[in-house]
Amino acid sequence: MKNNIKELREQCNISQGKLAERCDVTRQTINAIENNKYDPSLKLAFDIARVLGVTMEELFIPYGNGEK
Amino acid sequence: MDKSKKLVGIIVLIVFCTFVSYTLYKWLRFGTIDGGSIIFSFIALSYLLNWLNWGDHNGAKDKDELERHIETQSAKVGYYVLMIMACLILFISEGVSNLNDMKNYPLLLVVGLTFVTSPIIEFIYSRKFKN
Repeated sequence: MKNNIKELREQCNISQGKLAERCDVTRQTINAIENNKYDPSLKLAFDIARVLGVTMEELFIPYGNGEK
Repeated sequence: MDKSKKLVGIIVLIVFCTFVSYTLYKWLRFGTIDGGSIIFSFIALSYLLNWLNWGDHNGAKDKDELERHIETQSAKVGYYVLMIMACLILFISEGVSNLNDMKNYPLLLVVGLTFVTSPIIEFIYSRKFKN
């Protein structure tokens, strides 16, 4: 699933490391999500949305009808 | 990586090299294969690989979700690699391609079990989610 995490993170002036720290994951996890190599769990997706102050719809872009 | 972790890694590497050297020495010098040191060499190698992957000889302690995902996917791939290796070892060690000519029944049983272990575990695990 595509996402806008990188753009939104840069708008908030937050580094990958800082976002990872606030979401209690490693920087590699955030990097993998931003590069569409890994789809986060629901909990982590909500954590990222909360830290960036956005909704889930703003954060993730489903392909087609929500399919991968 | 802190000093104590580096020291553990160096110790694991030395232990692994010692076991491998001892096994090779006994094989080349006396022509005997020491089963115990082969097993301990593999155990030491597993510690070494864990240390290289996670920085800890026992594997990462507090894994985040990406690390758990890596571990799960690796376990699946590892299962199939082990299945193919068991088949290869069976055919190479027996030196025959006909299954009816094989004499190593324990290994034949192990190869057979690799085909059914995953479906059995999946069946048992799926019970957990059924009403």
